[in-house]
Amino acid sequence: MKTIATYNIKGGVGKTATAVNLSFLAAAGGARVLLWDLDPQGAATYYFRVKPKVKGGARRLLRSRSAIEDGIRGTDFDRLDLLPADFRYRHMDIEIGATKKPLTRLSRVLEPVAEEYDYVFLDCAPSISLVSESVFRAADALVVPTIPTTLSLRTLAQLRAALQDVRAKRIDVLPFFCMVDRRKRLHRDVIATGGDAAYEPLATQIPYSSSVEKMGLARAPIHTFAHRSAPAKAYQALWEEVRKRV
Amino acid sequence: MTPRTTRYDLKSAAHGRAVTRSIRERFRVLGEKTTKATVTYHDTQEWSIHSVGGVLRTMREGRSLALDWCDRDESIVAHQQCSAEPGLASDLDDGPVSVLAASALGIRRALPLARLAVETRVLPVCDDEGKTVARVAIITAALVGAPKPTAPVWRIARVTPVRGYRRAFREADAFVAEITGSPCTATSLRERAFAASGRTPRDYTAKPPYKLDGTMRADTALKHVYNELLNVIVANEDGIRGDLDPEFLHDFRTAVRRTRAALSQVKGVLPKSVVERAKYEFRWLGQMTGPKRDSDVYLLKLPDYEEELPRKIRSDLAPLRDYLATHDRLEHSKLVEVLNSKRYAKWIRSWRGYLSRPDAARPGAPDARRPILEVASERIRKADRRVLRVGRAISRTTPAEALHELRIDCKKLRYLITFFKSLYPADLAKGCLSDLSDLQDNLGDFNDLEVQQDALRAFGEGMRSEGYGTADSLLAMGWLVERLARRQSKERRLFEKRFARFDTPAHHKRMARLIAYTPDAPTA
Repeated sequence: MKTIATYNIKGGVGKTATAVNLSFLAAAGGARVLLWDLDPQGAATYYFRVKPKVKGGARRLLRSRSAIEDGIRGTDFDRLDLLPADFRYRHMDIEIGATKKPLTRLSRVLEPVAEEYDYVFLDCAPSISLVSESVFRAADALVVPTIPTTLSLRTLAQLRAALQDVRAKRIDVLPFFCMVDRRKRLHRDVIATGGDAAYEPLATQIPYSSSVEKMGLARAPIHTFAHRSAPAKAYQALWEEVRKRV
Repeated sequence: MTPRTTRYDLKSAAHGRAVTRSIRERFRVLGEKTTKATVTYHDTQEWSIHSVGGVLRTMREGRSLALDWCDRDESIVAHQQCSAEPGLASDLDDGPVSVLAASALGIRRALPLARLAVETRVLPVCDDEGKTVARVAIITAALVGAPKPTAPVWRIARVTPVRGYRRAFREADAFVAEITGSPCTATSLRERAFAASGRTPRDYTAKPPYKLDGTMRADTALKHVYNELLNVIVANEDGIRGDLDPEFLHDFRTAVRRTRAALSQVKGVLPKSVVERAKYEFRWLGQMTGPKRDSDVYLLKLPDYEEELPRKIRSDLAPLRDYLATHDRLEHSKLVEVLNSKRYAKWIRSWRGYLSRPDAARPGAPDARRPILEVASERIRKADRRVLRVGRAISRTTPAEALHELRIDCKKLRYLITFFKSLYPADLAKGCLSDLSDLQDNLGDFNDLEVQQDALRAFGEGMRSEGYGTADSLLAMGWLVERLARRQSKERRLFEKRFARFDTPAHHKRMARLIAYTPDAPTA
C-alpha cells in the first residue's frame, strides 16, 4: 500500500481537486484506492456525495481498530472507496495529541486496511499541526499543489523546515504548479525559476479552468464530465508522474 | 463486513422488464446504464486459477478489452486493460491482474473455457444526495458458440452492495426477492456457462483418484484404472495439437507411462493377447512423443542454464535456443501427424472399446477373478522386495546403470501404490509413498543430470552439423555439461544415505501392514 497525501499549508490551492482526481484515475487504472478526507470542511466527501459522518468521530477513529472499517464508504466508482470527513475532525489535533505516539497514529489507523488497498490518498486540511505531522510520518509522498506565486514558494520553504523538524522518514515531496494562468507574467516568471530550490516541481502543470470549479456542481471527478478538457488531461499526466515516483 | 451479492432468476425478458419498472417506481434510480459485453472466463486445463480461489475473466466492450481477477463471488480484486486475451504468463501485459495470474498459471496457458454475450442494465439505487447506495442489474446472458436455437439464455436480477450501505442493500435485496418471486440463486452465470460448455471446475486432473473397492474382481479394477488413464490421455490431445503449453504432453506421456507400468507389473489379470497389443501400442506412443517432450523440457530449462553461466557469456546460448526452437516446431508437426493418424485413432477406439466391455464370465487370465486387494498386495510386495534387493546390492563402485534400474523399480512401486491406494487405509498408503519420496528424488535427479549431459552433447553435435553451433556456444554448453557432471557426482554420493532412510524397520513394518491389510482386520 502506498500513501499519498495532498498537502499545502495554504488553502484554496487545489488539494481536494487533486486528491479526488488522482484517486479516481488510480482506481480507473485498476488499482484499489481509498481516499481519506481529513479536512473537516469535507470537500472531497461532498464531491463524492457521501454524508460527512464517521461513527464516533475522530476520537473513535484514532482509538478503535475497527472504526476505519465501519467508516469506509464505497463511492460510485469501481475500486474507489472513501473514508469521509466529519466535522468533529476539527478536534483531531487535540484527539491525536491525547494518544500515545501521536506522530504515528494515522499510520496505525490505516493498518487494518493496508492489505485491501494499493493506494491511500489523504486529502489534508490546510494547516501545519500535529495532524499534518502525523501525515508526514504516514505518507510515502506529499503531492503539493502550488499556485505559481511568491507566497506559495514561501510556504514550500516552510514545509521543508517542518519536515526537518518532524524527522519524517524518507518522503518524496512532489510539488507541482496548478491553477496556472499563462497570461499572468508572475506565473510565467515563477514557473521559469523552477520553484523552491529544495524540491524540483513535477513537469505537469494544471491550468486554471472553470471545469475544475465545476466539479463542485457536478459533484464528481472531472474525468466523468469533462474528460477531454485540458485540466482533465493534465491530471492524467500528473497521475502518471506521481505513480512512477511513488 | 460487506454483504454478498445476491442473484434471482427471471423467467423471461418480459419478467425482466416488469422487475425493472418496479425498481424504478420503488427507489430513486439515477444514471441507468446498459452495456453489452462479451465476457470470457479463463483458466488452465487443470483449473489452476480456480484452485487458488480466483476467477479470471475478460470483458470486451467494443474495442476495449479489460482483464479482471475476481474472487469466487466475482467481486473484482484487480483490474487492468489488456491488448489480448490471456494465454501464457510470459505474454501477459503488465498490470496488477497479470501479477496475480502469473503466480497461479506457472507454465500453463490460460484457456477460454466459457464465453457469454452479456447485456447488463445497471439500475443505481440512490439516496437523497444522488449517491449510489446499492446496485440492481438486470442481466441477460447467452452462451457464445452454442448452436442456436438451443443455446441457453439466462436472465437474472443481481443486487450488489456498496460498501458502508448495508441497510440500503438489505432493502433493495428484500424488494427484488419479493418482486421476482424467486429464491436467491447460488449458481452464478459463470457456473452455468461452464456447465453448458461441458465443464465443471476441477473436472480434469492428471492424477485420477482410481476409486476401487477391495472386493472388485481384479480385471474389473484394472480396467477401471486403465480407463482413468485413457481419460487423461484423450483429455490432453487437443492441447498437444495446439501446442498450448508443455504440460499437455507431459500429462499425456505420464498417463502412457503409467499404463505401461501397470501392463507389465500386473500380469495374469487381463488376457495375454490384450496386454501384448496394449504394450506394443503404448510403447509406440511413448517413442513418438519423446522428441517433442525433450524439446519442451530443454526450452524450459534454457533460462536456468543461462543463469548458471557467467553473465558475460550468457548470450552464447542463443544458438542453442534457435536450434531447439526449430526442432521444437519440427517435432510438434510430427507429433500432430501421429495424433491425427489412423493408427492412433484406431488404437484409442479399440482400447476404449475393450475397457468398456463387460467382464468375461469365464476369463482366461488366471488372476482375473481374484479380489483386487489380494492381487494388488501381492504385486506391491513383489515390487517392494525388488527395490530392496536391487538397492542393497548397490555400493559406491556399482556402475550407474544399476541406479537407473533402481529408479525404474521405484517408479513401478510408486505407481502400484498409487493405483491401488484406495484399497488401503489412507495413512498407510501415504506413509509408504512418503518413504519412497526422498529416494526417488535422489535417483531421479541422478538420472536427469546424466540425461541432460547426454542431451547437451547431442545438441552440440546436431548444432555443428546443421550450422547452428559457434565455438562460443559449444564452449558454453561444455561448461554446462561439466557443472551438471559435478552435481551428478554429488547425488551419487548421497545415494547410500537416501537408501538407508528408505530401508528402515519403520518402512518394512508399514509395508507389512499394508500388504497384510484386509478391511476386517484391525489396523493398529
